[in-house]
Amino acid sequence: MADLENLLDSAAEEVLETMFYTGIFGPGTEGDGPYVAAGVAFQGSRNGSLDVAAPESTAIALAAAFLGEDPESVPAQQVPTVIGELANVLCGVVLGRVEEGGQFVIAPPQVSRLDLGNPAHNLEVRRVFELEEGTLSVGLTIDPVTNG
Amino acid sequence: MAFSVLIVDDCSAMQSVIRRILTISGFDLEACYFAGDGFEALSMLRRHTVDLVISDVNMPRLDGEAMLRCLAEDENLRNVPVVMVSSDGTRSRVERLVGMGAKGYIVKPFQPAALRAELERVLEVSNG
Repeated sequence: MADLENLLDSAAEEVLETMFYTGIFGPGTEGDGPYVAAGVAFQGSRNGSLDVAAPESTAIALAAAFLGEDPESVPAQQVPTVIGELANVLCGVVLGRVEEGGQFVIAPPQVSRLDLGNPAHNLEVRRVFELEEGTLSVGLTIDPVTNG
Repeated sequence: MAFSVLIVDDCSAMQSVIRRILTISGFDLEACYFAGDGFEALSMLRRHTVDLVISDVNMPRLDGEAMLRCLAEDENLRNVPVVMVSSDGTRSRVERLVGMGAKGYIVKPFQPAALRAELERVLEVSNG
């Protein structure tokens, strides 16, 4: 479990620094909704899913950084799309480290806006990061059984 | 030298990011077309001449791998250089796509400079 947590930490740090131009200050605490959330399922050498969720204001700030725009000028429909892409890229990095040489197919991101809170509560491993823009939750569920 | 590019990605935000990187990197874009999956990309390529295709791998309907296969089977399109952009950086995937004809491969997450360098390399090779 600790390995997966460390792996999520380092993967999130790499993705956020490289494509979102932000860093992780440390562990964060969850706030109230609404959240913008996205998840990707994966199959292959290992099966599972990875979800990310951020309060709406954080999601807008991350989308602005990703797109290179001011937060005020980010089209509303682009925000969940960017959070979906964050889940997709993060999942790719995580899987490459969970099983080097493994083969995976990552399904297109499923995005949603949740008014009731963070969807990552029930996932196997969950990390909450404090960013300059707010908090970001990342959850990972991974099947230990290999498919060969 | 001005060139035309087709960006293929089911994520519209990623399309915007790639186009922005091309612009800030100083590429002289004559035209920039967009497609949301492999089918749209093939349709665009039959209507427009482009110098380079930058394509995602995991896409609905027709993914990047199937698109490469279709391009290879089309004598009018098989020489269009394609750079794949994917979050899947596993060696087996990269080797398979390069073996199928992809001229370049960028693994997400990437720095703008890395994409720029890969595109310059592919354009240089393609233009002899």
